[in-house]
Amino acid sequence: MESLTRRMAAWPAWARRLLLGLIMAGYFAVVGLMARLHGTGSRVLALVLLVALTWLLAYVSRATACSEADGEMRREDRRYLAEFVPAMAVYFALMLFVWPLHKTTGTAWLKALIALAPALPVAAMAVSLFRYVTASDEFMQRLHLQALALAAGVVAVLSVAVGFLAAAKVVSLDGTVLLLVFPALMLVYGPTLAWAKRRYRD
Amino acid sequence: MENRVRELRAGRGWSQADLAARLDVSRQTVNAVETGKYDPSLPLAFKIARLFEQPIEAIFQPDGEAGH
Repeated sequence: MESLTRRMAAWPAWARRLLLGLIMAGYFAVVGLMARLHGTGSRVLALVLLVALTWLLAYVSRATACSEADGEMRREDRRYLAEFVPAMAVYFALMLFVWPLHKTTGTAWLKALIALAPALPVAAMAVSLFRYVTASDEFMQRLHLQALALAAGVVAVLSVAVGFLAAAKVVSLDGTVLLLVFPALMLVYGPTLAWAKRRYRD
Repeated sequence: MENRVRELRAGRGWSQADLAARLDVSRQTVNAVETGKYDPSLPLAFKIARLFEQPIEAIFQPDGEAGH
């Protein structure tokens, strides 16, 4: 996969972006279908697809943000992927197989346990991101700081704007919108990291 | 800050990736130091000086003082 990333980093920028766009579209399509899947077979297929797309996304987004020479995978990159992707897999498995059980569970504590279960792998993802940033060298830490600060700012402004719109009853939203905060942060962080890297490129 | 990292690296025939591996940093870090877009911390500057077997002030100088 690493040599594939390096080879992909040599592709024209439009080809890398097109591939990234296609993978993202596939990702959103499968995630969008998640709530409508009922049979075990279709859920297993969705899980396999989501895990495969997460792996692909990790490598392709790296190739999109880097020049050919930066396609290298360092120790901390490998560890991050080895921690982040399994956590994502657990998250999707819980969302597909465990979370739907809250609809049929009457006991309050069990319902709360089921509802909170997907938060555990999200915590693992947050820890893996923290470990990744702290294991990076000093310059990369600066890039991560700038990228995370900008991403946090964008998501904060969006959250506040949506929150005010909901409070003014311009849009009708319930608490489930909070589920979008972490994915939004991750989604914005990718482009902001690419932006931070570009700022220091010669 | 100005530095002679690119010149010293080229003198040894190393690529940016080679130097990055020797310093245990990413290639992007080496590139940012060489182009003067990032001033390394003291520990990294000393590591670079040790690697090239030169005093730190022979490699890094404040802007406008290079060659003095």
